[in-house]
Amino acid sequence: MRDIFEIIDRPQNFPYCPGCGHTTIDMVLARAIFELGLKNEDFVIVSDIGCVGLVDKLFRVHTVHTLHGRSTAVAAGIKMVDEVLFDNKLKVVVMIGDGGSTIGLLHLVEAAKINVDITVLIHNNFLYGMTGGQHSGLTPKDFKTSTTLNGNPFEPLKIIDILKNSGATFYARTYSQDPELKEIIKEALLHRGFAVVEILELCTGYATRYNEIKGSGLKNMLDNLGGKVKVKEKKESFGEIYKNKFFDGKGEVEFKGIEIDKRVSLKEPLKIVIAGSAGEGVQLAASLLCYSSILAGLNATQKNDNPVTVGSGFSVSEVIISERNIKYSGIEKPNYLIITSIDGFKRVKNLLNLSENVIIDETLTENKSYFRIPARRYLSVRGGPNYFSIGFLFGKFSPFESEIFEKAILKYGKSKEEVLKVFKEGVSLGKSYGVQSPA
Amino acid sequence: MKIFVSGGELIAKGAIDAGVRFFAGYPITPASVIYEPIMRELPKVGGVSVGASDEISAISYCIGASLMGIKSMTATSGPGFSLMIESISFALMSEIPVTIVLAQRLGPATGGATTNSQGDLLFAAFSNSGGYPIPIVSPSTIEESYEFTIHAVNISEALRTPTILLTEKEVTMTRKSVELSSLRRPEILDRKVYNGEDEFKTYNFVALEDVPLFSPVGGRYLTRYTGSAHDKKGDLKKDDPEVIEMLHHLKEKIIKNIDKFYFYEYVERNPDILLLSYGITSESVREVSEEESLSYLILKTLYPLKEENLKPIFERYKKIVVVEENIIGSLFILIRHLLGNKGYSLTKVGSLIAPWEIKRFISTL
Ligand code: SF4
Repeated sequence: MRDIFEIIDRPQNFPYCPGCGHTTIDMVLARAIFELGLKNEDFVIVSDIGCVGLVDKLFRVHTVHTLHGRSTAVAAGIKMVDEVLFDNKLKVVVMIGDGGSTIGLLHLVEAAKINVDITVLIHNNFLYGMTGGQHSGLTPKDFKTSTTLNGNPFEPLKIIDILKNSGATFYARTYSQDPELKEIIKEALLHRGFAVVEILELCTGYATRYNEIKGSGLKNMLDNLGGKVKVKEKKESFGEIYKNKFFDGKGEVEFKGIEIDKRVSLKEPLKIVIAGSAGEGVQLAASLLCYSSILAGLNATQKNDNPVTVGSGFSVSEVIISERNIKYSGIEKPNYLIITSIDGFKRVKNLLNLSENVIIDETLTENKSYFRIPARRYLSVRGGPNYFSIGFLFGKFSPFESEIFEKAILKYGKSKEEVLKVFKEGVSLGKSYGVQSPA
Repeated sequence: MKIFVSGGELIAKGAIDAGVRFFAGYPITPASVIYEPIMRELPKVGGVSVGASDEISAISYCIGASLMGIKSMTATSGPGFSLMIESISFALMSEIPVTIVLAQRLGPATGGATTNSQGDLLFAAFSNSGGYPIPIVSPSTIEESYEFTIHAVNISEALRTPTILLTEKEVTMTRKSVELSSLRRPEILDRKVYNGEDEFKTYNFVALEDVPLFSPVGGRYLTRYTGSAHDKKGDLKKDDPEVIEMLHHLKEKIIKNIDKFYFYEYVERNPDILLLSYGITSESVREVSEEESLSYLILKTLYPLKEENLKPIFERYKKIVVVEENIIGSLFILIRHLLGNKGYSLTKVGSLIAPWEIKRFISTL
């Protein structure tokens, strides 16, 4: 017993006030651990903030003293690793108060939801002891604290009900004097999955100062919360779920390299902006432009711009193609500005005067100085207007052989055959305008 | 062999190659691009990657995993980083290695999710309560995001500290053709573990700058980790000389050991003007430097800075122009006392600083 508990035989050395419920719970926990006959090294106590966090020194086990409310999440991280990557032998016990459970409620809910194999002991003494007896989310109605001097006007959070509904597979509610507390804690420790025990207890420092209450009154308070509870269910734990669904444990991460198909040369970098509508395949078309450039032995960058909702409004891709390494990836003056929809048109209007060549869907403008082409006629193919316009660019200006872009479609594209057809039609339209070498 | 990748993918790959085997995150643009590759690939190499219910959970999970001896990483942007900082303080105080990727976007608050910015340097450098140093490294090209992810993980492991990889939208989300063989892969460092026969102390050191030997939670030596003021054993203490010594240790450990991880790129061309920058703005600076034959200094370890390294460089120039994409001139503020009356601050918000804007600025000096 002394093996587990540092000062079991010297209760006067406890850091808590005389009669504090924490003392009782610590002693019961020590007995429970002792009776389970497990090694000290296999226990981790993760403590929260508040008087409850003074527990570390009392136990000869691993201890982690965390932040207010975060103990559950740190414990979950420990146990996720233990369950999936190690031998799943650690018993991880969270020592948290009603305050920590309030501020860290989401961590408790999440741990219950994913059924990570930790045991949480909620020390509910209805108030914040360490900071002077303020109320918490778990303070009962009409209970007096330093911040609810006329009695708490609100009903408390029923933490066990919340966690039960969050998927906890072991949940219990009792009070510190319950003769069965030790057995309940033992059961919780042995449970495979998320286990939580709410233990009502007394803060002799503050609860008794403001309220007419003694230890014997805890039973009544338990009844007010719905009485004693202990339920155990069976469900896969986090580790079991993870290993079944995600964990592979083999293989290596490798990038898929792109083999140069044919090295072409390019005197000046090409700056191309494609502006269209989200959901019409602008970014994929732009990336095929980059892939084709890499197949051609060139370098490429692609920057995308879209509203936060990726499926509506404009979608703009900026592509630079260069023989040399590209450093600054911004484009102020595009060599080619491709506009395939009204959304794109509105977005890049300020670029129209700065661009050397504008390739634009014919329905969007009357301006004769632009290359007005029937791009949106190809809307039935995903990305069609963009591939048609890029095809036009290749046909008219021939930055490099259009066959290399065709290879990129076949290697990295989607709906390859249809896209290829649209692209080729764009190329022939471009050629019919008279081939011009790149700017 | 070339690849076509975003900085985000390179960060994911760098993390895995650095030995990261636990990743937890809560999605936020422009850090989200790191998620898909790392969620997909980490389980394949025998690691755990999880989506958390918020940023505080994400970093707390990482801290828990790191306590087990596993290299851990999370990634976020300004708003999420704001939520994480209490836990970063905790990792600092309890000397738990963890790497935080901070992919900057336009701020303040939710700001602009898909707009680049370099506004978080001072925020990151002084992000802990108490004012203790946290190492920050920053890639200055898309390619370097691979190398510097490894450096960040190395620092966090070697020095038992939270470490920040400071990057930005134009690095994580821009895709670039990259020559695979050109990626630099630093030597991988692991945290040093205790293996002795004496009583183990979680925070043992002799010289203030020593990095205490680590032992995992659940290992053969009982450990006592804590984020509260403590002695070498990990016992809660307040008015004790050992606690004050511990606090000095937290500073010295970083300041004295950053030498091994002090990265910068210095090109000497013209003796008059030095361009000084970091992050993706460095690419514009390099272009200008080449075209106008100007000297430049790119800082890649951004915090703590080594004044004894910067001073002699600064002394050689008549004018020093600090170029950065934020409203206040964060790096300029950090080094202003070293610049005398030679310092000029070129800042911008809302879009990348183009090479021509740097040239225009210089022409007015
Ligand atoms: S203040 Fe209350 S909770 Fe804290 S030790 Fe004293 S009795 Fe216990």
